[in-house]
Amino acid sequence: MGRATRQREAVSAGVRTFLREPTNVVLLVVLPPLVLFMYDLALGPITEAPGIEFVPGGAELGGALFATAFLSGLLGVFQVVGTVDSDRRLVVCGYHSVGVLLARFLTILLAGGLVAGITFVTFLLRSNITPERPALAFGVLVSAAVIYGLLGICLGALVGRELEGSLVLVFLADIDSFGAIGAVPTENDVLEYFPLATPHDMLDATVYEGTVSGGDAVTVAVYILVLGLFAIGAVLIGGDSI
Amino acid sequence: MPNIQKTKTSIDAVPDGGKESGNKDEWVIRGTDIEKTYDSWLPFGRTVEALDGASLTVNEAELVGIVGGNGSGKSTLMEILVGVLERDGGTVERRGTVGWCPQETLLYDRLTVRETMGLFGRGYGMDRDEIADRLGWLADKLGYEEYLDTRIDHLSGGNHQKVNLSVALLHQPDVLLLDEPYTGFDWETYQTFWDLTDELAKQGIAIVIISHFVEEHDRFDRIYELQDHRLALQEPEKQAVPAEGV
Repeated sequence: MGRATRQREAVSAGVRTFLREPTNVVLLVVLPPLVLFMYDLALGPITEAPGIEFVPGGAELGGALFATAFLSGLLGVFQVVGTVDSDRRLVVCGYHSVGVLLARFLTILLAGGLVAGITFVTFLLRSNITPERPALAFGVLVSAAVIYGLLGICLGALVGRELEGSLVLVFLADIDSFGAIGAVPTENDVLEYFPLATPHDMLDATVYEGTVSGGDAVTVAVYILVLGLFAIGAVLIGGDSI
Repeated sequence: MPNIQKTKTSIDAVPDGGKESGNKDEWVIRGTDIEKTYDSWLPFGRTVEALDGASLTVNEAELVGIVGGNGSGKSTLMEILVGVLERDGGTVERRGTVGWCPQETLLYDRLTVRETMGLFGRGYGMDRDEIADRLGWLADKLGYEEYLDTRIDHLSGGNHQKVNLSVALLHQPDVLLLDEPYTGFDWETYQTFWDLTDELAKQGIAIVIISHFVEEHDRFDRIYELQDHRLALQEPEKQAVPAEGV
């Protein structure tokens, strides 16, 4: 039995399991427009505060990035927490542990892609901005989904509980998103290293200028690589403690 | 890395065909001086000692029981023997393929029974036809044929456990490690389970069963007891009466 057949079976089972969970479908379809709307609403008073400058459509763009990242992160947490023990049994039955994690990741990627797509369409409908490079802008949203999906996997594996993992994720995504769009009036360099800082700069550039900085793309790629390695480590050690 | 050492090149379509009776002098799984303590990486977490120098050997065609009270470390020992849990010390050696039925039904709730078997069967290296044949036999034997296309989360507790056990039996392993395998079974299925273990042992399969208590002492070749984190062979006279906690 080839490794590819096993991998296909694991991914297929993961996607089926995911889509048969009504909460997941609601998360995918209903929440992106809702989060975008609420984000825009919440940012309204902040944009009028002295010292904070927003480009037109900045709030919607920030909302799109936040919705994609946050929802993908949640999916990552739920995927790992809900399946970690059964996944260990799969490994006992002959699957490779990295392969099982890859199956989880591909499921999250698929779901994250769908979230990014729905969010992007909602953004286009709600905003009067036409992105200069829509395909690239969508690609940036997907990269944010990947980053937060991996963060969700790490949190799910290390924290091991859906509620606690989700709370940590909410806190992180809020700070991250507000820092990225400049709603946090600080010059602190630490915000530059937060997960959404570079994707936000890239999204701005693709939407308003139609460009992508090579340096930013490398930064995002390295971020994904490091988080991927960290996720593997977190899942492998996560099941052997109390 | 899969924790199951695969040595078989084919899997018999007929469950009791093609296997010879085992040699009770040939060990299939052996654990020596196994140590395990659970530590938490979180601050203020508890540290719990689970196993202290546990040793046991299981030979082909043997039926071995492991008893002990709640929290005595039975499931920990089994998970270490299977290879799903890291041990702190000691050694574990396995020969042949392993079938593991965990205490908790570690399945995917939203897959059907057939999809579940397909998923685990692929892991074992079985092809579609082998999985279908074996699933048909197990479903008939344990009595859940009408639920093959039912989702796991829609099954009753007893049927849930039947599927949990079937995953362990699917690939006709050389050694079966079963943790409270008959929880939730009705009387008829319980009897069928013991008939099945007799059949499998006659084919040479080694079987280890964990339970709070063991009622059918005569069926076992040996019974180990876990007490104070240490594993000891029960004395024959003690095996004749039910252990504490019945």
